[in-house]
Amino acid sequence: MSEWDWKDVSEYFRSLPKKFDYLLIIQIIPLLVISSILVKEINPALFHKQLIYYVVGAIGFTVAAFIPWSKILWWFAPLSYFINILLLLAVDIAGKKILGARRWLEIPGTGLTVQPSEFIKISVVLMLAYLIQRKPPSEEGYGFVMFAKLSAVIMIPFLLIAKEPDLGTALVLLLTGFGILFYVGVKWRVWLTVLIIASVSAPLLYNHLHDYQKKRISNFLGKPSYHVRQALIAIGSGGLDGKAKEDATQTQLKFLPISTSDFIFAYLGERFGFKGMLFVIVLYILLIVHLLAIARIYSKDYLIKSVASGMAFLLFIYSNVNMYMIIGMAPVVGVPLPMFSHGGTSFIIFAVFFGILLNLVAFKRIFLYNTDSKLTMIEKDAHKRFEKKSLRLKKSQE
Amino acid sequence: MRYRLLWFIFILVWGLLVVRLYHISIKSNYYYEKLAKENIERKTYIKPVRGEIFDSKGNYLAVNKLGFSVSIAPHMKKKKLSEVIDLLKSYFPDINKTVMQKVYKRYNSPYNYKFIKVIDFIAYNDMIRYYSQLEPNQYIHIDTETKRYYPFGGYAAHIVGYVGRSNRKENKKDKVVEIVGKTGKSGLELYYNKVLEGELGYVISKVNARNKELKVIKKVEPISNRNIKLNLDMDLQQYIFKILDKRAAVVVVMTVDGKVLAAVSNPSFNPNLFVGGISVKNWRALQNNLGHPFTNKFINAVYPPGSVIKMGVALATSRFGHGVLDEHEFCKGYITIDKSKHKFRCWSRWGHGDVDLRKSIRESCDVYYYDKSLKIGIDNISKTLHQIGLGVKTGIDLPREYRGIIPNKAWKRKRYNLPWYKGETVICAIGQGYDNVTPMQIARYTAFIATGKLPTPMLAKEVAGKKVKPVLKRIWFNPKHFNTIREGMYDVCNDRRGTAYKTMSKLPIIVAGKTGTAQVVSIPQDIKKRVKENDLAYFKKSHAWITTYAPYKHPEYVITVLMEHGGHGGSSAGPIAAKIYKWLYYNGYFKHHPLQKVREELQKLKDIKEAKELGLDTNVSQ
Repeated sequence: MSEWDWKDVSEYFRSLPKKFDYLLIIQIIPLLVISSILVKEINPALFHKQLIYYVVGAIGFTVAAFIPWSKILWWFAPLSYFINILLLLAVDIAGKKILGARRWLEIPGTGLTVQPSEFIKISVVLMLAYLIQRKPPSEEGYGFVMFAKLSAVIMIPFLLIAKEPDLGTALVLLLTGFGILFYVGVKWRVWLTVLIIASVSAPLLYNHLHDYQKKRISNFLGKPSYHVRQALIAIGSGGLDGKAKEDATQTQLKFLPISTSDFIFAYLGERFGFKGMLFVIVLYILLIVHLLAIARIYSKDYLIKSVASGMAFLLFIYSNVNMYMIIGMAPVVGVPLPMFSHGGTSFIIFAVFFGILLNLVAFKRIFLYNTDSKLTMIEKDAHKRFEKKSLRLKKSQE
Repeated sequence: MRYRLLWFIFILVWGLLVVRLYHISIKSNYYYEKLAKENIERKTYIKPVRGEIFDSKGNYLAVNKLGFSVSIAPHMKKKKLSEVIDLLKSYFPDINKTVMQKVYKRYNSPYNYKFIKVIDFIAYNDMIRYYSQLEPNQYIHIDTETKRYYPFGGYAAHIVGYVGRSNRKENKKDKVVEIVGKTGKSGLELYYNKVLEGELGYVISKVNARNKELKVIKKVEPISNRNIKLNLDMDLQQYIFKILDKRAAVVVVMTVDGKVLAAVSNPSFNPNLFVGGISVKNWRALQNNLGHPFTNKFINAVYPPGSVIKMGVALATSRFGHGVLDEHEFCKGYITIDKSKHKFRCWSRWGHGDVDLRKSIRESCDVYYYDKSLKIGIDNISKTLHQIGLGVKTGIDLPREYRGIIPNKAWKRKRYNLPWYKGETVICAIGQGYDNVTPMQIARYTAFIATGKLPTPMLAKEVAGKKVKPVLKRIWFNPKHFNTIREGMYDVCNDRRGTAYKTMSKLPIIVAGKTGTAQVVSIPQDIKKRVKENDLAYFKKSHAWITTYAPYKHPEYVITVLMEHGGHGGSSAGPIAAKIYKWLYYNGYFKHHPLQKVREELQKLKDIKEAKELGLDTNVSQ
């Protein structure tokens, strides 16, 4: 199968879209629509930017959906992983400092900045998926050795990001990584050991936190900060049905800070009330359920299983940390609501991610049949269609 | 197993989220709705104009001087700011540049869109010359501003008091004070502060998170100019200051129903010095003045009443000693108590011989009251004196009034934890010892003796357009004794043997009164002959009292004079009271002597000099 001739390639491009999981795409669209309505109401200028992100995201999604990932993963996963690690190291050495955190890398000559910690998410998930596929766990799950190897894949970027410091993103990565491992299967005694080590070292780690991070944690435990307080007022004043745009004073009069990105969920609450928030939460739940269902259906294919569950964890952790943060039940860590908050990089990454998953699943579906028989089937189909068409022509002539 | 655990965690997290959101947006909807409203509504206050104070003739005692304040635009760059400040400095050289810069720095913030007031007050005349030049400048905003001014200065300082910058404690108590930043600090300005300050107006406006005003929701105008009209006559008040010259003294002139026409505490101070903050030099000069110019001596200083208390002791005896007051006493110049050798002496070394009530007052016999007091006891005396206004607050409309002391056994036990001695009873019966009263109390008590009704002294005639009604309290005493006491007081001023005959007898109206000489130091037992008052050092001299009412038959006015360290009441305080009576008379204050008639009388007076002294010469020629 390594040698593709042109016929095979065109065949691939023609048959693949038929096997796409279109429901997944349909599920995402309402999120994007609601998000863009909210952003437009808060700031029309940002809405135009948002549309550009959607276009770029759609392109990224399409491209990712057609790249035969299962074929190239053996070199792509390690390569992108190492490039991203290098980028993270570069950030550590030559990164641009904004507001005390070294998270950005300037692209020479363009003045644009990128945030490597966003890209590493894909790399880590793909790397884990690739390694797991290569050496799937036994019935009981992975033992200590394999667990340690896979943990290293997660811990290296985690430590680098945590050092930036961007504890929010680092923790999301950590939880997603170990979530995948948990889902795929690791022996219980391994988890027990991890739990013991974690609980012992937690107080030690706390001492290594930055002052502002400690402050955020203590703020969270004590009185809510100004941001959270305004968010609570926004959500609370929305009631069951929400308010008209003009009456949503918390956001329209700028009491709610960063209302288009991290705190957009609070505006959702103010504008569309409890009903609106519940609707969005249900959309997320359905999306996550769908992803876990895919992971379950293709549970023998560790690649799909890892990627699908990885995405489910990513969405689950991101969305819940963001929402819990807004209502004062989690520390303020600057994590966006996935595919809902205004923000380019994060959205495009998710689009690419969905593209990858769509491709993996569609590819798997094609692969379930014999390639040759499938080809003939397609030809037969074409023949039948031709016949029908000519029949229709004849009839119309008559 | 692990899938189930995972689902459990997921559902738990989602469930908790939804429950919490339900709680916030539906259960606490009302609470957060209110907070959201509070966020967007800003209340800005409009300051009321402070009410003014004037006397019964319409003379202004406390006014708001019109002037201007200068504010400059917020968010100016450093260079522009110093340019604007320099410009202002070129027009008003007196202003302090660094203070202005400091004030600007303190109030300038991204949340402030208002002009910042850098000059509190510029007098009308100073500003009006440059107004047309400064007004068009877009960085400068000129506003009208008022400043409290007391046209009569020291003449009414103790009564009117003054206004000053409010402190934190005062701000906490009163919203208006907090907003206006000024409050009455003493006198009527403090007592009637709530009335004078008016009520705040306010504007409720819709603002955004940066405090920028978007829309006015509600506007309420302030309630201003709640004025106070006084019973005071500033002409009289000034006249009294004039005749006192520089002598430390207290004078109270009031009607028998309590309207205070004049209340003088000399020396005084200029309250205008305090309005904009007093200078160190002026403060020291006033502080070091031994005459205590800051003390309002008619209510905030206590003096031993001396002999003027005797009518009160007589009334106590009338009430508590059955028939005791009708008994005569024999004065041999002194008494001794029980087996003690200590002599309680009468002021007259030779004694007054046989003394009845009328004579006891006329000649102010001490021994008579020694004997009476021993018969009824200190507790009964103090009970009666308290009842008729001594040793209790008069209730005058001024703040921080002193109570003074009229002692009894319980008071001494409480204060010193000592038993009461008979010797102290006799001392207290002649207004010495522990006795301490304020001049206002004596004036009030004199009005009571004159009419049988105890008035409450009132400075205010009208408060915010409402007339103040006199408060009178009738207290019953045996009318026979009452009349004899009044006859005694008549004799004091109109009988050759009276202690104030010399000064009080030749007045156009008939006056009754009582003198008092309150010792400041006790006289040792071995000194037989007293040193004459004139020979004593100033601060060892006795205080001189005279308290009077007139006309004798139908009392209208009470005049109480206390000359600090003045010596004898009759000779020192008497002339002052006499001059005031003349002034009142020739200004038509007495009911049955209308102005026209008294003016005619005045013209017939041979002694035009006297008329001039009364300040009436211009009127005479009319």
